Amino acid sequence: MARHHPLFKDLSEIVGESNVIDDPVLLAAYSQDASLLPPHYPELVVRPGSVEEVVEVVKLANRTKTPIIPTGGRASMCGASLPLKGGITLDLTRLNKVLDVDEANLKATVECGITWGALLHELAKVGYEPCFKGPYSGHAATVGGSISSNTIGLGSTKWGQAGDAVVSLEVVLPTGEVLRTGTAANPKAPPYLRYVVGPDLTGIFCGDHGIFGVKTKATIKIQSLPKAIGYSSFGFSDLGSAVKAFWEIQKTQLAEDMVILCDRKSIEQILPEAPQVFEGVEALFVFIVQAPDEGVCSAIKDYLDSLAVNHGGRDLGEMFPKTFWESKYEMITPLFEWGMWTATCHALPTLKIPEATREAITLFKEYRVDELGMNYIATAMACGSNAVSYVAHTYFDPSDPEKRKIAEEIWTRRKRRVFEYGACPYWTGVGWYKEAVEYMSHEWHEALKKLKRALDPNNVMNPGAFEIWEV
Amino acid sequence: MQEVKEELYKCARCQECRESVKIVSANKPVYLVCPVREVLGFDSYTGRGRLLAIRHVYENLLKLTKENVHYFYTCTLCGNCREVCIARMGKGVDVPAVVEAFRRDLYENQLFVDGVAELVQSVKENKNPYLEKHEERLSWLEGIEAPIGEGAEYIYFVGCTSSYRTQKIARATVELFNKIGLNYTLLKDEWCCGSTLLRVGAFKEVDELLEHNLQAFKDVGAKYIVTSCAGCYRTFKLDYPKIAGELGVEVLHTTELLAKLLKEGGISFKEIGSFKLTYHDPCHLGRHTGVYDAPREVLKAIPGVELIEMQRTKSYSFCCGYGGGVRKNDPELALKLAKNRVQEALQLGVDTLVTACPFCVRGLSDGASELQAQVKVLDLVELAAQAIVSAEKVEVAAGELTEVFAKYLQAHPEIFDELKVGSILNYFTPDGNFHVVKTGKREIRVERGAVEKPDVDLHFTEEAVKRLTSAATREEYMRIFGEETKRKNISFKTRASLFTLARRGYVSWARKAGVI
Repeated sequence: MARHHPLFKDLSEIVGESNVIDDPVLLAAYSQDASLLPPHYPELVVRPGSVEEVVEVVKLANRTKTPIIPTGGRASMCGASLPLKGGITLDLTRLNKVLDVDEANLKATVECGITWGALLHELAKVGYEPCFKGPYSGHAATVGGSISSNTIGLGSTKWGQAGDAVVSLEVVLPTGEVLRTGTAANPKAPPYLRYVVGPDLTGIFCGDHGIFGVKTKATIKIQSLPKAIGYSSFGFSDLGSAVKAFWEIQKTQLAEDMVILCDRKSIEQILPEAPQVFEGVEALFVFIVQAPDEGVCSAIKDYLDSLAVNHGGRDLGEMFPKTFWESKYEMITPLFEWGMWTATCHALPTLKIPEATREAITLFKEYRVDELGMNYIATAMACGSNAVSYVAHTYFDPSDPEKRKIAEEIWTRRKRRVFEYGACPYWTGVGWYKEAVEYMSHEWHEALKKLKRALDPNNVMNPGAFEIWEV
Repeated sequence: MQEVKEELYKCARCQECRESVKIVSANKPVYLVCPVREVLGFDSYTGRGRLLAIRHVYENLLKLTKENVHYFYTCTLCGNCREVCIARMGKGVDVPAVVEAFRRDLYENQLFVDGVAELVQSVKENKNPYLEKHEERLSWLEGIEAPIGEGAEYIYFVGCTSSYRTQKIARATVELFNKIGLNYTLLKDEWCCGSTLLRVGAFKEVDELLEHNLQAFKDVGAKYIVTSCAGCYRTFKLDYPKIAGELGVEVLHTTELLAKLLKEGGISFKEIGSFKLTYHDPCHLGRHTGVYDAPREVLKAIPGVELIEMQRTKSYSFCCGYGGGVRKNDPELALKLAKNRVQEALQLGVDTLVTACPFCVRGLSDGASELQAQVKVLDLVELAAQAIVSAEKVEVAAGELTEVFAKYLQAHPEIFDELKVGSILNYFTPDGNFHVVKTGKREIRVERGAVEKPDVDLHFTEEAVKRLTSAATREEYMRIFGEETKRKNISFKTRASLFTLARRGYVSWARKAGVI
């Protein structure tokens, strides 16, 4: 008879024995994410099936001062959901239902463990889609995980980040109380608006990486499914013109989504036929227009196309954007053919793309990544009217120690440079906490610690995140 | 493990194999991925979870004992995670191959579960995994006429499960073959094909079985081996050639044989009643060996059959739970999986659940009985055996526009010059559909019907087809293609990823056609 963890019995009483594991063979799956970071094993994994169960598990963790980390898709590229101090990993994917579609208020209330792929599927049945449509890993990523990590993703051009689409949250606080934010803080009101009666408590939990509580429900903005979709892509002879055109289109806020490939090598790596087909194209972007009818769609697309043409854009047709939009969430993983990545996605003002690209490519050249046969990508996706999620990273074969060393060195330098050139990561994790805390202001970190102390006096929720090891 | 170690390290750990729902997001009929994970809940049971655990064993982070190896036998090897995986430029990571290779290492290190030992012992002693007497292998034949050990064009390989457990399948297959006058024989001394041993890692015990069966095939001198067992089919089709090289005989599943005879006009079916049915794709016949259309063609040819597809069908079909050694090593889990699959069928309001594998018939029958479901579980051969009649050639009329277009393209393979060999395009016209496969430098194959996994679906209006098929040269065809696309008389849906399309020459092709 195998020996169980001391908390196994108590946890089993709360969620049922079939929803608790403590066998290391089973825990291995919870020890790593989609990054190169080494394994961190939890002591137990628990799968609660209701907010009541979450409350009891959190209370038990608090009582026994056991670390507990709420997790969703666990496909972080930076160790955001690794149990740094062991303890309990809370797998929230049993909480995966759409609870309400409020057509009058254009909001959907969902359990936070639902994936974006499932959410799109469920909402489409009743004629809607979420405004913010999740990260590129949306077949695995959950709504709660995206809110917890400030995700920029599909639909961000028009709708902003994951948190921007949130109207209300239900959060189990580290001491076990259940908080509802926005209008839902009034027990008589449904969740339909975020900023009411005092400060925005919802915002505290956006991007918190689970340090302030367990998100169990979210009310998010939805829109009717589009009746018409327009697809455009344009190539440019230089990145500067491409970025100007990109920004001109972005700031109209008429496109649903925009993505730019920032250099020739990135284009050639994704599209090997580029040398023959795209002679002279040094950067290209795609954009998507969604509209309630064909007429509106063509009018918007024609107008946005003209902005691209005004900056010297060459029409590359609808094949790329259509393929991109019709295979949502399948654009990143195929690139793992080139090996593991060392991601430093960060929020950057759109007009700084050329500078960031120059800097990244200079660094890659310094390490002779081309000669070593290491691939890289420099790309950006629009976020709101002015910024992008900027991505420039190398890929490496994890079984090749030399390349791994180089990739890690580049990663270390890039993580610092992001802050130094005036940008900020939006998601982070144990792979980036140290640099983040070093570069963000002392006051920022102190304020975060004060909030942590107030909400989580025993520091049980994801301890170690943002370098908060003690409170 | 060495031969699949690369697979182990190609996992992007993206979790695509956990609970993907791709119906709206990516236009793929994927609704959840791992049938075991859906029952047991934890990520440990997904492809990524299994690869991580196996990696950690090899990296000395996990220590295995007899007590904790059970987990490694809870995978049905159904392959849905491999199918859904988009890593490696869409090729996917071969999780079943890794799990199978790992079980082989466990077996060779004597770290396996008790069920494996029992199974190996039984196959060694009885030439079947069911602890049944070898001399009773043909007991199901009682009262039926069938040639045994004679020279024939076809060998009917019965398999252990149909010989001892689902004997109705063996009887129906023989009845069917007798009715159509097939020149076939049973083997005088058929031994287990070795599938169950391979699935649980007992590779080294298979050689003797393989040698015996190959000799038996040679003795008959047949051109074809036909089997109604998806497990035997996969083993002959994939495993035997890997171990022993070319077999020298063509391997057919009974459904393929029937579909072939149907196409040749060699058989037809009569109405034997009205069936509202759905078809469950056996993993070994579908995902593992790619036989999706044959069983459907046969079912559609039986008058009175209304075929309704389950949501998870063909390459994304959900496993019945009775494969990969799970039925033997964790019967409770296997039954839960079977019940889930039956429930999916029941949601369609069908009265009959048809499949084409004795393991699936067992699983689905057990599931249905446990659920007390009012649904008949049949193997396709049972239905076919009742409905088969003598041959009568039936010409299937195809739409004129479709025929003209297909013939035109067949005569103009240069249209596809930019595309790489292996590219597949579905063509839809107002009166039908067909698909084009690029088979050589300037060679294509044009076949009726649309395929399940093309690179692209192309839709044409009548006007577009008429203009395109009037083009005298490739240049003119491409010019018209571009014009008609702009006029929205041609539309497309990309079905492969951008990375795949870009690597198969579609960007250049689209550029030639003026679409880019």
